[in-house]
Formats: sequence, structure tokens, C-alpha cells
Amino acid sequence: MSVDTAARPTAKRTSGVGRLVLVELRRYGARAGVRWLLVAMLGIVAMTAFAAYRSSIPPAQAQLDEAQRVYAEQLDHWEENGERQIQDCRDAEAAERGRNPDEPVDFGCEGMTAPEPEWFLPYRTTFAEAASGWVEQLSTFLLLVTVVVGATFVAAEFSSGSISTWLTFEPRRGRVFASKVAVAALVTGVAVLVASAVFVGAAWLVCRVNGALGDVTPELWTDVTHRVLRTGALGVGTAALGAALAFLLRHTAAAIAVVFAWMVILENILGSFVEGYARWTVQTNTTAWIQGGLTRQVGSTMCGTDASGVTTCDGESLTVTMAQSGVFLLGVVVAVTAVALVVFRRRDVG
Amino acid sequence: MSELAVTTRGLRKTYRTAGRRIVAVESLDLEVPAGGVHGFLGPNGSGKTTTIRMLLGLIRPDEGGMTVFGTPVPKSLPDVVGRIGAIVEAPKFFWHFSGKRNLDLLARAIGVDPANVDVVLHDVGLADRAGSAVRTYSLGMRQRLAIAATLLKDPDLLIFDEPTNGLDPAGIREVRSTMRGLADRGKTVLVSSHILAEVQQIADTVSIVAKGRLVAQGRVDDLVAGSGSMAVRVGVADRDTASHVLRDKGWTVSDEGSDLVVTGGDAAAVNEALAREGLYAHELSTDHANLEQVFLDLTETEPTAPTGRRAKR
Repeated sequence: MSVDTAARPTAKRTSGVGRLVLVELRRYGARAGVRWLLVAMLGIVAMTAFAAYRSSIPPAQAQLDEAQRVYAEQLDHWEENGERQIQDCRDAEAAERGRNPDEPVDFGCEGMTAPEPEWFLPYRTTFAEAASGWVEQLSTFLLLVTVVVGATFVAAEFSSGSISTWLTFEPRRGRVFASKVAVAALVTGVAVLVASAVFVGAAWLVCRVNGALGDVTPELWTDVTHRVLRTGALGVGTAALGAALAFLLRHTAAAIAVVFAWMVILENILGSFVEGYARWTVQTNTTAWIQGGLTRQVGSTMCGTDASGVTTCDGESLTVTMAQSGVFLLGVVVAVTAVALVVFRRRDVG
Repeated sequence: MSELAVTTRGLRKTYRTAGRRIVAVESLDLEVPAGGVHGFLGPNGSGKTTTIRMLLGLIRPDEGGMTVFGTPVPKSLPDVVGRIGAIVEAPKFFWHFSGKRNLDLLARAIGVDPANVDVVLHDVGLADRAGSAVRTYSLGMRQRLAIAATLLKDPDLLIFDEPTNGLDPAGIREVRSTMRGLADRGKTVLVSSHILAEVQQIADTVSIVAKGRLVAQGRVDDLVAGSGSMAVRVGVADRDTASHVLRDKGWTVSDEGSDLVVTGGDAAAVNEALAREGLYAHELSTDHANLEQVFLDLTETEPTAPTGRRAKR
């Protein structure tokens, strides 16, 4: 080992967050674990696109033949018995009204009609009907992956011990923290955005191939685009959350376990016992954020049909606007990240 | 007094383990002169690594102050970190990255030209394995990679914590000569070790710690010379008579194989005492004390706060 420091180019002894961010970007791209998780993300996109293909696929000739056969049978049965079935329905309805004159009674007899051929075909969706829901379903899986990506990106440094080597080169822990969380969040968020956009393109393509685009309006494209953008923004937050949890817990498995415990124990089990808790769960607010707002019945619900035949349900209604959910989710991410920063700045590094 | 590379004043660090508070470092006043090799010596668990970690800002002291080249740390560590290269315990890198990629990331983080990476890898003899994943390196190769990492900054102070752990004899010699070579170029090398004899070969000055406290510090020669542990080895035919004669002089005599080992008198006095009784030594030699003996002498009793170069006992 011969060391000749005089022969070396002079070192620049400046440092900044920007430089650290660039270094973290290089590390992000080089990490095999992160690459595999991004591949998993693409796999999720491919599987969801395949499900879209299957649900929009046109019926095969055998299915058409079978549907035609069953339709013909049911039509014969209707022509033979239809009028009698309607009359039986009206008689039963009148008898019920006689027994309960004060109650609204509607057996739906007027809606009894002759069968139609499409009733007997396999269910088939269209892009126009399902695209918004598909994006929402996809986001659930992608966001879980982003938590893992964010956590493993940071936790790997603690498990290898390389964080201590890193800090002997850059002791400003705030900068180290910021660069790692920023890269984990932004790159993963962009990956989620791209994956979601790729999925929408793939879903449109498979539906077009299947002749199942439906009535694709500009409003639909606007809704889908906004959902994709909001999924990407949420991906930034969840990856930051994963990275922050790794700074706190120093292990990927521990970070995942905390997320799992939060979702299952706090939000589902505890949430089912505490009145009004649903408003403050990450799951409710995530759904509201992706959908652009949420209104749903919560708690026990009583339904009834009035004299005019209109069915209504009484119960507590929960409404969460997109802005409210955005503020809530941002608050969660900021709070966890702030705690992680304080702990990382103060805690000994082994 | 020459410029000091490192100082600590009243440094204290405790850990809480299983409900108990363990004192790792207590009232440590350390002075490492700039330039040369300074051995930071003590048995395992004596607080050496804890002290180094505190100097590097990895752990927080409970009390006390530290400076590196006069700059208070950890408060102003960012101002001086460019002058410090350090290896703390086992070298820690990204195991799945190559040695070159690891150093490349570190170089870019501190704004060093990445071209330096090849230079330092060549310096430590790792050029051929630069592209291999660190997980495939032997411990000795990882130690050399860590030394290469410290050299990226061309630092003025190099801190090596137990740098020869796990190395084979050739590797130990290489690391030793590297440290000496760096010191000869004007760098300050602070090397911690629990193998005192090893450090004695290259250190100019030492600090000795035990149970978290400083028990002695100063130049190696001064400590050894002042230890009073010099012994005279005597080979004589009539060992029983010789032993009585020497003990009558008030010296301590012990049997070691075919020789007597005498402490308390120098070789000339021992020889004269024997000759007066008609006893003639066929072998007479002086065993000089080494750091290990100095350390054992100093730590026979519980160490206390040091004053001057040696701790009062």
C-alpha cells in the first residue's frame, strides 16, 4: 500500500443538499432492491391491465350460442306465463295493501317485462364505465409498494451500517435526512405516476381491442387524468412516509409492520368500535383523495319505500372533500417525517 | 506546546442498558498533538470507540467538550469534517455495490473529483477488485477500502479504530506502514488499539485509557522510561545463593526458567553484588519495559483523573 496524496487532484470541500440529492439519485438507481420493487410495480400494472382485458373481452361464439338458447327458452316461458305472472304479482300487491293500508307497498309488478337477449350474456364492462374505478384499485397496490420502496431505501443504510460512514463524510444530519427522503419520495412518486398513466393507456388499448371503449367523454378523461395525478401525489407522500418510518425504526420489516398494524388494528378493528373514527382513518381519506371527494353512509342504516315508490335510507352520512382529505394526509406525512427528523438528529448512530 | 489536533475536556458518556446506566467514558481529558502517530490505547470496552464516535458526531456526549484542530465539535463539525478521515470499527459500506461505486458516491457527496477514486483504490492495492461487490471482499480488503475512503478527502487527521482487527500478518504490516507513512507526510494519525505492543512500534505519542478514564498520556519513550519496570535477567550457576544475595539488597527476584529476573537494580549493580560474593554471571541482560507493562502497572488499581502526563494513582 503506497499512498501519495500529493499526486491527487485537489478536493473541493463544499457540500450542499443539491449535491447530496444527486448522489442519492445515483444510489437509488443502483439499488437492486429498489429496481425489483419498481419491476413489481410494473407487474401490478400488467396484472391490472390483464384484468381489464378479461372483464371487457367480447363473448365467445359458444357463449353467444348458449345465451341464445337460454334466451329462447325464457322467451317461450314468458309468452306462455308472463301475463299470469304479472297478474299474480298485482294480486299479491293488492292483498298486502289491504293488510297494511298505511304502509307504502310496491312489489315492482310494472317492471316485469319480457326477457331480452343481453340478459343472458356474460357480464362485460367498458372503459367508459370502469376506468375511474380501475385507477383507484391500482392505486391501492401501488401505494403499498411505495411504502416498501421508501422504507428499504433508507433502512438498507442502517442495516449495512453505511449510514455511519456516510455521516463521517456529511455530518449535517438535516441535509442527509432531507436528501434521502426527498429522493425516495420524488422518484417513487414519479414512478407511481408513470405506472398509473401506463395502466390507463394499456386499459384503453385492451378495451379498444375488445371493442369495449363505451362512451368515452372528455369529462371521463378529465376524471381519469386527475385520479392519476392524485395517485402520483399520494405516492410521493407514502414513499416519504416509508422513508421516515425507516429513519425511526431502522428496519424495512419494522416499518412495514407498523403500517400493517396501523391499518389492521387501529383503522379496521379499533375503528369499528369507535363512533366517528372513520372520518379520521388513512383509508377513508386516501379513498376520498383518489376519488376527488367521498360521501357514504356510516353506522346503522334504515331503508324504506314511500307511497310514490321511492326508496330512501336513513343513517349518518360521512362526507370528506378532496381538500379535507389532502390536508389530513399531508398532515400525517408531515407529522411522521418531522418526528423522524428530530429523532435522527438526536439519536446516536451505531 | 505544539498545536493540538484533538482535545477533549471532561468528556463523559453513559449508556442505559437493561435499566442500568453504564459509564463508557468518564472525565476524559485527551490531547492529541498535530502530526505523528498517536496511539489511543486500552483494553476492549475501555471507551476508545465511544470517544472516537463522539469526536465524529455519531454519538452525543453527556458532558464535556471536544475540539478538532481548535474547532469545537460536534457543534462546528461540518467546518472541520473535510480535514478528518475516519474508520470506525469494522468498515461499513453498501455490500451489494462495488468498492468503486461506494467510493464514487462518497466522493460525489463531498464534491471530490470522482477521478480520485481510481487513484486511491490504486494506492491501497484494490484497483484489480474495484468493480467487485464489497460483499465479496475479505476483511482485509474492506479495511483497505475504508482507508481508501478516508484518503478521498486528503485529510489532515486520520482516525483509525482498531484498523488491524481481522488482518493477517502481512495486512497488519501494510496498515502499520501506511499509518507511519501518512504521519511522516505531516498528517496526524490517531489509531486506537487494544494491542499495545503493535502500536508501540509506530506511535510517537499515546493515551492510555481504562474503564473510560485516562490513565496516562505522553510520548511513548517517556512513558516507558518512567515506568520503573526495567528488569535485569541474570544467568548464574548457583541460583539459590545468587537469589539470596540479590534479595538481601532489597531487590525483587523471580525464577524464570534457567535465569533469575531482578527488578529494582540496574545491570551494573546486580553484577557488582554477585561478584562481591564470588558469583559470576554467565549471562546478564536488561529487559526494557514496553507499553504493555506500563499499562499493566498503571491499571493495577482503579484509575483516577489524570494530572500532567500520568494519572495519579
